Amino acid sequence: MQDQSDKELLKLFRISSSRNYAFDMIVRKYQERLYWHVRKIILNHEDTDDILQNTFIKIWNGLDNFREDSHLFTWLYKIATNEALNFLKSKKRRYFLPFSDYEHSAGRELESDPYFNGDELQMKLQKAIVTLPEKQRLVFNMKYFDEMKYDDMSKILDTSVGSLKASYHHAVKKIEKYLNEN
Amino acid sequence: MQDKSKIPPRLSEIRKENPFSTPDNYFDEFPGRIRSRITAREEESKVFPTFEKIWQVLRPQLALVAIIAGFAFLGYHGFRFISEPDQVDVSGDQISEFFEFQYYNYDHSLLLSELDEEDLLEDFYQEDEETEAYIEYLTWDDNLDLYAIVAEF
Repeated sequence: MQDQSDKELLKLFRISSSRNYAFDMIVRKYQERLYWHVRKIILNHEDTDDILQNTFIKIWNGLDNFREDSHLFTWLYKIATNEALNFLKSKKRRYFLPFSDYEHSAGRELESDPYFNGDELQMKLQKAIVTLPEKQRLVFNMKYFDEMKYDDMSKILDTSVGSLKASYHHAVKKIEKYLNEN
Repeated sequence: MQDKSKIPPRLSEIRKENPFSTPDNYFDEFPGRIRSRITAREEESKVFPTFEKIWQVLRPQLALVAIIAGFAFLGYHGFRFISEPDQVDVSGDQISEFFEFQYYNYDHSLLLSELDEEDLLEDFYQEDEETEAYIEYLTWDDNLDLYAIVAEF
């Protein structure tokens, strides 16, 4: 049903008279899922907003060339994930941040974030997630919070299902350890 | 019974809710903001369509030319460096020696000229005045005695 709907939207997008309408529908349909996906990687709202805008601009520019070999949402997630990871890389490079410093600064930002409404344990969980290596962090968020299937994750992250399962297992172990020690 | 506060918090005990929020009406306004950004970009590309088209055509070709020029430059200098390494070293030494010599030489002559320039000119003018006085004396009132000069030499 959802695939059918995406196909219809893509068909409408390729007709110049309904192009803007179709894109608007795509934005409305996927903005929240992509926002929360990026927000869990980036943590603060302002940067997430910038990344989400850039993601949709790229989608607008590239949608004509989308060949429908994969699901639309897989392609959108891929673009959003790449945008978020590139942002993190450039942020670390810009401020010459080693990983441990990034971990601390992200934790501090979270404590003063007006758009974080979690309790103490949820704050601790987010701080634990920040300590994970990039790939484990992505896999943990997508599996634990978004409850995404490994098959879909595999297409988005270009990684085998076995490797994703191993990453999730390691991530959970590390988070449990962090929660026990802090 | 174990004190509950001492039980280490575990993942399963944490509420699996989204702890983040957004500003009010964020998702209602977001599509409009995206639409205006796209419109602005399209307007920009309408203002300079020819330039953009030319640039898009030329850009890969200019990149190719730049790469070829870069390789040619590196190849030429690399070849020269490999084929004539001694000459490069010697000429470097010669250049430094030349500059060293010129430096001391220049300094020396400058010093001398600064010190002696006024005296030398004074002597020259004095000598010149004396010569003129002799000539004047000899040509004035037929004081020039050719026989006496011939007898002298």
